[in-house]
Amino acid sequence: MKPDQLDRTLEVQPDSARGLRHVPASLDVFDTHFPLFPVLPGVLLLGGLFELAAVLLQERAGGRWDAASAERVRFHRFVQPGDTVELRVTVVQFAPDRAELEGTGEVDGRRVASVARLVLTPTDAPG
Amino acid sequence: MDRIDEFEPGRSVRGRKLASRAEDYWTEREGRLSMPPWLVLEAICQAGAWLVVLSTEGRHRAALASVGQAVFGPPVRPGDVVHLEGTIDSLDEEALVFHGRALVEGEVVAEAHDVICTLLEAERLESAESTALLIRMLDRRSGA
Repeated sequence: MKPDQLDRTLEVQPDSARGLRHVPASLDVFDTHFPLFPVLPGVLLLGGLFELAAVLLQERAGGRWDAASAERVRFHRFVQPGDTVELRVTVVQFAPDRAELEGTGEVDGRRVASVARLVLTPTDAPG
Repeated sequence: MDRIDEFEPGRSVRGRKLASRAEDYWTEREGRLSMPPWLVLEAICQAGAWLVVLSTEGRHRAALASVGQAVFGPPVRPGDVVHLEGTIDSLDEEALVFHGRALVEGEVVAEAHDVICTLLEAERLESAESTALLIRMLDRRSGA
């Protein structure tokens, strides 16, 4: 899987990972969201956290991992063009068939997003 | 969301997202193209945002503040019609709380509970003309 909401993986440990997501003004999403007040849709940060979690789980356990559910997803501040979001995920529970992580996003050291529980499950590649 | 099919002011909305190969968000899953699940969640949230726009006659827009729970089902594929449903739990001058789901051919592909959106003055985000144009484009209820 090619991540598209994660620009760089900075560090991957068995229980945690850090990555970067840049927010250039050239993103098409800002044409409509919103013309006078460009804001990155929060779900794209959720996507970045899932993608970072999938990178960690793939390194730790192999295979491919997909988003199954999320709980207590909060967007604390608006993320705007020119921001760089540092994404972090930490493994809370790991089993071969299901992993739970928590995640945060920060811009300049200030929290912009947090997710209490990101659940991913492994997907077998087709035979 | 690409189209609004039904709307009950202050209560609920039904609409659809048309998943086309011509769009640029596709990722590969199980060897086939699939829509990233967080974009299916975004479609549900847009249904909620349109509840705000239509319920306030275009005076307000909505920004996503939190999601209590989102559950993802089978992948959405190119060519799918994703039917969206949003139901208001509460709506006041400051916030919308709603729940919703997305279905393809009757099967739930995503659901979201306790979604909270902050209401923003529409004119701070977009010109009134452009909000009105969006409403006209989306609103395909019979006779609308």
